Amino acid sequence: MSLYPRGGYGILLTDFHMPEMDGFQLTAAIRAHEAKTGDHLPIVALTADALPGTEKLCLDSGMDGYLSKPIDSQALTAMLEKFLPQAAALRRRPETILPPAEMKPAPPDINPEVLDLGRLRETFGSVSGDALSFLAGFVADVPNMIAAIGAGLDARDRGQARHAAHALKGAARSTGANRLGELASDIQDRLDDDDLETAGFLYEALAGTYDELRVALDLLRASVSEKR
Amino acid sequence: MTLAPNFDYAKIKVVVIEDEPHTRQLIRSQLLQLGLREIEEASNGKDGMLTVVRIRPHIVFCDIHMDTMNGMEFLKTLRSLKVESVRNTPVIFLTADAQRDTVVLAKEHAINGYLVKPVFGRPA
Repeated sequence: MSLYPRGGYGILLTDFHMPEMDGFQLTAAIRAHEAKTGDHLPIVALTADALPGTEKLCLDSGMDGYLSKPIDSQALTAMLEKFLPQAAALRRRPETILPPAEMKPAPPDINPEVLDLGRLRETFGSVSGDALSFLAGFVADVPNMIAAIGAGLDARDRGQARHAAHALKGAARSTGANRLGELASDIQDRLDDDDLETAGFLYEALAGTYDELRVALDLLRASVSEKR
Repeated sequence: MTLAPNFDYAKIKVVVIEDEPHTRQLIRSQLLQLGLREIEEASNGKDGMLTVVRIRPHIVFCDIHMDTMNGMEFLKTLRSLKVESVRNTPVIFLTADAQRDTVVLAKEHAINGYLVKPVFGRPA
């Protein structure tokens, strides 16, 4: 919200659940301000929990649409074309971004359930440079995210544990760490059902999922440096 | 040794739970012979459960007599786990225990198969 008054933005992509001010409160604040100016900033929600009623919820709260996480590049493009047609001319085609040498990386032997490279390739254009630094940053943060779930479970604070599981689910799925995302999703579901016991058991399996993800990252790094 | 020729065994995810390392290696070799490729191992029921939850296998081969969590406890825990995608995973016991009581108990906990060791790829 602190960026909004500066103006000049064409679209707002916002998460639903955030500390301090969530996506709904942010939308309400912006729409209230626009009631005076007559502007309309397109607002699109990003959510990892798309349910049958999600679209209505977004529209009712003054948003223009939503995208489910992990965000599909094509869906994002469609959304941008719908609300930001004037931006089409500014887009760089992915082909022009990629140096031709990096177009066809030899795929290392990584189980796509552990790490789906397709997702990184789709998001970054190739699995090198930016994609690798992003992935390394995510993998380095996974132990903290797991610990946050553990802290919530230890304190029997269902809300805190759920929040942490939800964050891990969204980030893991968006990154292509599918097993990790699946497990975090199951933990979130069990917590929604107030089943701390099963959630606690599933939590124990996170460590193994993190280990295999780290191995996948190492393999990927090795395969990329080999090519240089 | 081939079974159904048009069946892609390489895509089947298996967990083998067996505490005796040589036996475990033999089971792995037999499964590799059958064309299976994605085989994860665990040496007790507890680790087996964690592995099952992590990789979501199509089938589990499990010993019965083990420390930490034995095969029967593993089966009971699995069948009562409140995670839909895992609870009904097919489990085959691989055991030297052929006692009637054990077989009956396994059946009560919805075991899917019961093989008495030593197990061969085709009828001995």
